[in-house]
Amino acid sequence: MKKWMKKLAAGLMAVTMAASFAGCGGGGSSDDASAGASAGNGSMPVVNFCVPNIYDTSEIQMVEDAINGITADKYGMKIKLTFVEFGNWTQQSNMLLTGDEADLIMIFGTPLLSYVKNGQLLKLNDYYANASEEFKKAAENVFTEEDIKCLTVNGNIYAMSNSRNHGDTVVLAIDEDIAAECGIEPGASMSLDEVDAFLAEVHEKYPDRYAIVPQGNTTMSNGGWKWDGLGDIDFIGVISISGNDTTVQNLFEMEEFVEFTRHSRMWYENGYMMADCLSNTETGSSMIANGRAVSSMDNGAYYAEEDFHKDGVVRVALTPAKADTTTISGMCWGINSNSKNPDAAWKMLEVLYYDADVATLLANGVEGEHYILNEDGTASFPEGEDYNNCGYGGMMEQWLFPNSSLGYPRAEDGAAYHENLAAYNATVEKSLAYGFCFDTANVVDEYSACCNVKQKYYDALMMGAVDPEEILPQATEELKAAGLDKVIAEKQSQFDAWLAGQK
Amino acid sequence: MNAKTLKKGKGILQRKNAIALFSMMLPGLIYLLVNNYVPMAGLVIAFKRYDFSKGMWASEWCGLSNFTYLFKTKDALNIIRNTVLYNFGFIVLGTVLAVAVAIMLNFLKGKLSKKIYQTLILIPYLVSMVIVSYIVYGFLSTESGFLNNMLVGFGGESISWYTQSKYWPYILTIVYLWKSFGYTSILYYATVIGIDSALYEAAAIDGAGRWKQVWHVTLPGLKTTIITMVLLSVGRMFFSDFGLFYQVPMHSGLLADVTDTIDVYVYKGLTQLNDIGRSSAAGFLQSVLGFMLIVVVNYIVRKLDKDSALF
Repeated sequence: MKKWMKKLAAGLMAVTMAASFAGCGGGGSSDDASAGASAGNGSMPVVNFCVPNIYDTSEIQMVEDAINGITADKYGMKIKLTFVEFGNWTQQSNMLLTGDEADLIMIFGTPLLSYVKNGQLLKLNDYYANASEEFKKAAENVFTEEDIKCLTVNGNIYAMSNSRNHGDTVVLAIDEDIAAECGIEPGASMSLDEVDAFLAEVHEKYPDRYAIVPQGNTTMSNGGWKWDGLGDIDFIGVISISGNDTTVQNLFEMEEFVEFTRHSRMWYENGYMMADCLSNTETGSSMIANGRAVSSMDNGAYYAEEDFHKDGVVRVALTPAKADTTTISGMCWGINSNSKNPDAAWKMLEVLYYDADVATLLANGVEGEHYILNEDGTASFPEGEDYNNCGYGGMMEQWLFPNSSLGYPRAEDGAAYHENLAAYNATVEKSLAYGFCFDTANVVDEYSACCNVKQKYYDALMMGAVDPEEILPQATEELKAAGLDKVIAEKQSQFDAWLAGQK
Repeated sequence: MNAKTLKKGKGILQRKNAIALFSMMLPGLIYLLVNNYVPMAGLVIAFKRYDFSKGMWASEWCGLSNFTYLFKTKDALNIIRNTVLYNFGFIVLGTVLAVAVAIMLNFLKGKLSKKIYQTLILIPYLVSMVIVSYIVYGFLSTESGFLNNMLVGFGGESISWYTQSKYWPYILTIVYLWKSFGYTSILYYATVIGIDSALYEAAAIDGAGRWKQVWHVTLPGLKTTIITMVLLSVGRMFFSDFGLFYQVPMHSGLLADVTDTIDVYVYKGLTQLNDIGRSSAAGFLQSVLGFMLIVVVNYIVRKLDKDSALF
């Protein structure tokens, strides 16, 4: 009687079929990190350098080969450049950090703290303490010990700060022709009331253009507004940047936020803001460039008057220049804890900070191919080409790389760009909480619940798409139900302890 | 008389059959093992404080603490309610629509028209959710959307669809049905054409009209398939089509109350926290609940009608 066999076969068949129906999309988490793409052949280590990008990178191989031409002889190692599109960066960087493929990686998009909590980043204390003299000398021009504190969690250093603005101003970027017409001076400051009046004026004059649009996608202002999230990019509990108040407050109840939403609601109701802002997928700068919008918020560091008037837009300051912990930790360079060769990764990072030839290749590309050198020491894209078609648009995103100050600044930024940048970083006002980073460990459930509530309302409130009178109390109530008070109390006590330690 | 030899012969035949069946099954079985069973070992992550530098096995155990966040807030109730109710609606409406379309397809006489309709109803199923979300946006956009243009054209006020959650249960249901009915209809249609035409002839001779034929011949013929399909969907009651609930509302936060299903909530929470332990915990919980549900429903079906039960 082999009936059981048939039965078994039929049964298994049924299971097979059922599973192929039902099995798709389960939760497969295969964990074997087997891909050894970065191992390289021979004995020379290859360091995989992972960075987000927006511009043309079709000739990336040329840059990589040129860098390897230097590093192979000089330092006995090679680099592999991995550029990932900005839009995919958050997801792909997490994927890159699950295995041992990535060595050097930019920390951006995902908070430094979550990488640290997950054990995804290597502790750099020993490397940093024993760094070569060349590195120490070069690093002096890029960051300070105080900056490194923003990248330190529980006494361990996890990343290096890179050469870019270590401070931030929220500005209103306005089409230059319209700004001139309205008599707006580059670099002036504007209050929200003045913005109201300006938007009303241009809405009247240019009814077929949006008076204001989000900075990008559904984010009104990438630089936030007048608050400091205390190392937390979700702003669950903030302090005001004006004054010396160290009380941690609920974002949705703080004066500055309420005031902003009152204005933005008016912009939306009066049709100054694009009506479809909640499903927008474009950047404000591109909508201004192609004549669909007049203005959008923007953020960055502006050193000289010419920085406020560049690339076809005029900028006016809406907030004072300020630095907080996330200004530094929001973009920095770390090493994957699973890196196959962490020593080589650190060595390569050092080289990228102090070897001017390598840093220039990364920042500008290959001379003659991707840029031409001007007499004043600035670089321009070759005749008739720009960042979209020159083969390597690195010049437009020099602020990503470890140390672009060794390369050539863009002609548009002026010959004194790097000096201006260094002076700015040295003098920019630091937030009261500069160097403090909130550790969510004790309130992680409440914190993630609060993040969900905040995400629900934040964008819509900032763009004015909903009525703050109605939504703010509702959002606060939901936050409280999600455990906001506990998070704020924890944040306050950590912050107070930190403040006490600073004195 | 020689029942014994007959039986023996049949035994050999049976074994040969079984070997043939087994060998046919082998590739699927291997696939199943590699793809669906081996990764199950990864479920341990749900009970660990996952540390990338230590890996899956060396990370610390943390008991059930990865599960607690799901139950800490009222969100938990909300997302489970959304997931289950949407799925319930989808199963009921989806089945009715698909069966109706399958029967209608069967009524079509021309070969060409049959082919055309089959292809046409299948197209939405093949369209990616991201594209669907933009088709929906084409209808609902505040400034240039088809619906708002119509509303304004008829003298009404335009509606800001993406900020008002009350419309979305309907919108999502319509989008789901539009996208999925073609595929399920074809599945049912395959059963419908398998029904013996003699049954229809007999029914016609007994004086049954079209409706009576559908009621007394087609539907009973479809019963087992319907039950199997429903059982399979019930097993996925706690899962949701991520694309539908995340992409189609254009991830507008304001709609979260009605568009957050378990999958979407977990995705949102975890892209923030980047915590693998918790995401596996949620996945694990979904699977366990789904498994329990399918066992219970199958038990009920077996009580009512033994032949229709899955196992």
